[in-house]
Amino acid sequence: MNRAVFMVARREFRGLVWSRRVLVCSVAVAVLLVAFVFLQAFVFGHQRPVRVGLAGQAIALADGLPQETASLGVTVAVSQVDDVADGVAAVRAGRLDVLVSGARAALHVTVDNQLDPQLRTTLNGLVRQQVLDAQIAQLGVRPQDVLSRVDQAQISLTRLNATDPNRHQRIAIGVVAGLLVALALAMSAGLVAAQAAAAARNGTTEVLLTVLPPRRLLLGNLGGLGVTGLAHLAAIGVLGTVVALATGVVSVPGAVLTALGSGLLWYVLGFALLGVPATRSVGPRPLFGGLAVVFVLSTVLLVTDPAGPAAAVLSVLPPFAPILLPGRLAVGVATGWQVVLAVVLAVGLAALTPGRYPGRGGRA
Amino acid sequence: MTDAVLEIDRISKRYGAVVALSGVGLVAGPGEVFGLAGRTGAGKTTLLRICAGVLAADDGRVRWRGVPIDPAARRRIGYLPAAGGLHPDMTVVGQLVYRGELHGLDTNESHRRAQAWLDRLGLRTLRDRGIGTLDTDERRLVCLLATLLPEPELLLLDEPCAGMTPTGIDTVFSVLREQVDRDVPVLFASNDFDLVERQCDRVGILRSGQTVAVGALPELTADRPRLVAVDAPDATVGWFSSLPGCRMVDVDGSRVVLELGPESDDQAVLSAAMATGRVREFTLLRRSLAELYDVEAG
Repeated sequence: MNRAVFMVARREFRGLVWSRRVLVCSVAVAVLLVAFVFLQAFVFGHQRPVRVGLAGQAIALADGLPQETASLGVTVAVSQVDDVADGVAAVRAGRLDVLVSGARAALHVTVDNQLDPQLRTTLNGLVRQQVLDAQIAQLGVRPQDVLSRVDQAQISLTRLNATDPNRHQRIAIGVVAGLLVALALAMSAGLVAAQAAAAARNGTTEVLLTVLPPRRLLLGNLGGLGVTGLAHLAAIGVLGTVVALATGVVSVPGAVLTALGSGLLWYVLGFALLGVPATRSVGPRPLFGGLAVVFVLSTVLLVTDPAGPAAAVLSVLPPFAPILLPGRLAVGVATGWQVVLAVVLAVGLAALTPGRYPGRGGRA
Repeated sequence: MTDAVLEIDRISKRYGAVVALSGVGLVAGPGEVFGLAGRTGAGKTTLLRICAGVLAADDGRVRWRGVPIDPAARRRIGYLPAAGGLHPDMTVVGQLVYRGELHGLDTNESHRRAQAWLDRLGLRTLRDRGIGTLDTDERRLVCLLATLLPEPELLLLDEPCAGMTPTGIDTVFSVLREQVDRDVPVLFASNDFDLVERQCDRVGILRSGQTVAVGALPELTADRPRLVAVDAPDATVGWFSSLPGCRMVDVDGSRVVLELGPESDDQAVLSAAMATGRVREFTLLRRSLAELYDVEAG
């Protein structure tokens, strides 16, 4: 009998995993995901380096300037200019953003219109440093010794609320993971409903019921459909992970992998929750609506207060757990007991959900 | 396999307020094609589904070989639903092998049997065709092969010939006759009364979920009023009115169709007709199953 269940599941999987309708959905989601990552990498998240031309004695800044500005979050591309006039012409023509000339203690900066405030701070700091070095040298002391001591003098810091510098990245990863799980569940619920209707129409359910009891037939059907959805979600998730890491859009690979793993786990649990109701004659539309509401609420909670009590409570409840909990895990605010409780509740509810088993209907 | 008898004992089934079956009882034995005839909605499909274990009866029992049908026995039943039971996205051979494997055959044996059946019915060219590309005859034959592949001990067939050409129907019944020769009982449901009458050994007629007649066709028609067509052009209107148990059911010019009751003698009718003058036609009409059913349906 178990062999028959496996065979039903295998047939469903083989019939659907390469089917046009499933591939179209998955390819569309994958394309959107990759496009989003590329846009993030090369359009939204990409800042063009400030083109800085160095002329005369200012050429000595070529090594130090990029490091100084980088610490303030500004990327510069340094080039040497033969003379000031050429540099000014380049700024005027838009080939350079900034021309720096003059001695280190009296730098002169030429821009077309505005100077980046961070770059201004950096250049002012270099000028002041140069002046300070000269003043210290006049006192007969080695400037390096003084500066070394100055550098060692730092405040001691106590963070009452530690802020993760990658918090926004983690939230974005969580939202994307929740969206992918929601889309996969919606697609799978639609497939379940469509397959149930088709099986009733072409009489295959009746034939299978002569070799399998209704519950086992449903297990075989849902098993095959669930694995189909899982395979597609895994493919999309892995693709998104590889592209995101390769393009450098995310700098927290651990969060991505956590979101991927927990997303796949929660797809399985979510499918266990939704699969049986999706076989009901009412069709998948109410489920689609419910998934959309759950996704929107989960996203709002994840963005505004992922560690708050509302998110914590909802993320362990079955309707929200498959979508909200992977996000909270990616952000790093879900605790172990919350995960365990959510899994127990999901499995328990799935086991208790009454199914519309095939073969109970029919007409004379 | 002498005890291979299917007993349907007072089966009842409701769908909400609708009574689909009410105390239906039949017996189908080895060596016969049992025709289950009835109009659409009579309860044929529900009855077959209950026999196949697809539906549960509200009341009554179905026994196979003297015991209620359990899951193990169900796997030895070949059930062909009206919709066919084929997956449209599979190939013919894939579908046949799948059905064999579901019934416990290993893959090689399923392939061997599938190939043998296709060869035997001249359907080898369909082997790798998709189910969705088959015409009605081809699809119906593949449905039948899928049902027969596990070598069932009982066949429950719901409208297996619907939409088929006469050639296709002949093929179906040649195959079914072979099964009957192997002592496999065949329960055959159809709303085509002529087909049931031509092809079945015994008949059960359902109307509104109740059995209205069961038996071999000659038995069913034996005690029914006979029909006789008489064309006596010189006779006056109502020339037969003095004959006992004789009633006119149709008239076309000088030709009348008379229903003869049990007390009527067809020879007396012939004599009375000849007494009027010329007799151009005197024909004893055989009652078709459909006519019988319509009489029963009232």
